[in-house]
Amino acid sequence: MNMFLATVAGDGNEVPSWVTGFYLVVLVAMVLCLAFEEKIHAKKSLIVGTFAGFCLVTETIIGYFTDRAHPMLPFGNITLPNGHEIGLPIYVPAIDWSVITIILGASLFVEVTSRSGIFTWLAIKLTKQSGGDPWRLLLFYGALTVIFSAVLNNVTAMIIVGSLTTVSLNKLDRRDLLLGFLLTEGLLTNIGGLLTLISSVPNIIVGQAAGIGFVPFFLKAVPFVVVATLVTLLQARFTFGVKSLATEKEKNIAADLVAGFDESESVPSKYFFWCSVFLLLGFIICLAGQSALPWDLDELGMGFVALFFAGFALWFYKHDVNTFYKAVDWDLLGFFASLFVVIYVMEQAEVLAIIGKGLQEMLALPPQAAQASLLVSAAAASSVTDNIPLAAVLAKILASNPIVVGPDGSNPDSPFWWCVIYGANLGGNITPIGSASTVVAMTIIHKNKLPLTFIGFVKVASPFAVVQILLAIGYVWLTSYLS
Amino acid sequence: MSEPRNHTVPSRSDEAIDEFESLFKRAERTLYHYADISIRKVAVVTDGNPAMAKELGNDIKRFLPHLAGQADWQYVTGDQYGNVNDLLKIMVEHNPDLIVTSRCLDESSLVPQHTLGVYVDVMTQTLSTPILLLPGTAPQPHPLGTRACQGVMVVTDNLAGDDQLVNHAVACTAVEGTVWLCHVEDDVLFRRYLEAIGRIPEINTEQAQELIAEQLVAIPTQYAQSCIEGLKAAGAERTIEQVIEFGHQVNRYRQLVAQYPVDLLVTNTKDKDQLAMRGVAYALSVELTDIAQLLL
Repeated sequence: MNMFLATVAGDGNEVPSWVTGFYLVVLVAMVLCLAFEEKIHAKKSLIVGTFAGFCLVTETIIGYFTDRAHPMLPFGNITLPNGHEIGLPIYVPAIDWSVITIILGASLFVEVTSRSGIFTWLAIKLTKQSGGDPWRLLLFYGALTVIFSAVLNNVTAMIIVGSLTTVSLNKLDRRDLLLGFLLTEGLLTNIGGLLTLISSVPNIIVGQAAGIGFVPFFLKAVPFVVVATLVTLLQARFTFGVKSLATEKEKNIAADLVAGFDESESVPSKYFFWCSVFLLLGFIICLAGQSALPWDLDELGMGFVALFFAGFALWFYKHDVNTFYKAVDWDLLGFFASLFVVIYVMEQAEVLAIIGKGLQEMLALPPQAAQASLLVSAAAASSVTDNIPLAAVLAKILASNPIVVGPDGSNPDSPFWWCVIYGANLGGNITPIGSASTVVAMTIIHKNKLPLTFIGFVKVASPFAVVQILLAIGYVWLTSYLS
Repeated sequence: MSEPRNHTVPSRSDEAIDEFESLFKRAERTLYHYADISIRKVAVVTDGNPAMAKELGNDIKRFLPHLAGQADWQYVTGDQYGNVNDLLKIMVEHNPDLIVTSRCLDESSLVPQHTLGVYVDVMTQTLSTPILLLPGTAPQPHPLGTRACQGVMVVTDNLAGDDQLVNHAVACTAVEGTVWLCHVEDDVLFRRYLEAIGRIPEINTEQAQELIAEQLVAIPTQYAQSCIEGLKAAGAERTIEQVIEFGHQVNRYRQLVAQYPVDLLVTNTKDKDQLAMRGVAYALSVELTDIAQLLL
């Protein structure tokens, strides 16, 4: 309580404690609204947009009445690095446009290239390669889920692999395995989402705040993703009783059934298919080598790379670009933009400083305990609410914490960044509302009239999540020790 | 006053799930599997005497030579049964793999039109044994011809996956003969569905018509292609033709039979869960009486 009676020191001005307390309540209210999004029946962008508007209006009015000389929101012109001044509304520079452009460019690019049938072709090809054997099918679909989550995003990965799982298991007359397969794939999307810097939004946010490059991120994530995927698949084999086919007759029947799939059906044009393959490879190579691009091109950033490739790919559908613009998840982009505004307001109101002080006590523990506590806390918070605000708030706080960034003010190798990344991603596996991909998995499960309640999901999924989180803690300790 | 109807608007992920499921279902192919049709016991049912039955048996052996060498032939003549129950008992006792008979058995005094006669009617409904209907009727039989069956037409409104139908047709066709795989979609039914779709504002009627028609034709076409490949791989030397189209089923089959040199029609008479004979099969069996028909 005393904390709120005191005055919090800001940058040149002082924020009354009651103001900080008020905005802390607003932040908690927003997080709760996001957690109960389904009950409110409103889209994320609208919920957070409303809070962003409320925060801007109230903070402006409070600033007017408290200290007109030092308003909380720093209104005024923006000075560019070349000294040029431009006037922008306060909420425009509040947004982290590098994150927005990465998400916009990558989603547009994926939307266009997926029309080439490249992902469905690969999915069907692997189904045929499995010979219809349930265990091999689970291994292949598991690997596919992880790769698609890494290259596309975890929602699209779940939709593609989940749809194919439904169709192929029905064809194989193995609906008894459908629930286990869909659940495992849902859990693996959040592991695949850890593979690259652009695989999930928390990765982008934390990676940008920490200054982690695409390649270092990938190299650090690969061993964990491989081990966690294999462990999850083995756990699924025993939990859901997924066994290999025993007799030759069973194998022949299953192989014959999956042989009936024609992968070429999903490829509308071979030319566009191969162009998409090369574009995708080019996209990954450019992202990986973005920091090494010559002639200052690296200064354009990853967002530009994503937008550039999206624009290039759109030329294949130059008369039909509107279809792809419509397909962009504007709700997600609106949500991010609004969220950045809310966080900016929270920063000005010193709410982040208050949370940071709480976090400081955790970070000051012995390193292993601090890392485990941060990872588990992030996972727990992420299991019941959206991991994006969590990642955004924690990234902002950690970016100014000396234990994390050190004396130089920048330390991309700090294990604490990875605690947030692992926690925010893997926490989504504890509950069905923990991540967008588990929500999609539940949608497919219910669409197939399979019985699984919220509690049922938690009962089945939490042992998987616990094992994954323990693996992550061990991996953070190991990498921290080795470095 | 009726309440306004609220249709659930699918979310973007629901739409995407449905879109990908459709994409994968479209990539599914029903493959044809060739199998030798083994017929060991043939029952020739007539309302005539044993000599006539033997003569008929010889005609059938000439018409379907694959039955001549290996089949165990039994002749059921008019003096062995007095009513339908008697005949059914004999059939159950003999348990043949194929029954060969004529329409309107034991109807010598009056020749009814557009019926199979009570004996054949009951046999098609109660027995699962394939029945080969000879051309004409029992009182007015038509000759089977002097050569082996060269042209067989598979008649169905759902060709895809019906291996049994195709295998029977192939078995009945002489080497180097022709099998026509015919699939006629009922255009009256299709128009009725389109009329319903036309009243649903959420569905683009023109697009629905085009896409549904395309898929209704694509599925049997792909299966027919698989039949051609499967028979070639099995070394079955038959020419396979496909006729897959929309139309009024009975009229269109009548035209097709007139158009091609067809010796035998092969058709399914029952659905898995249906005891009574299917509408189109029944209509064809009573209308196209000039031609032999194998009812499965």
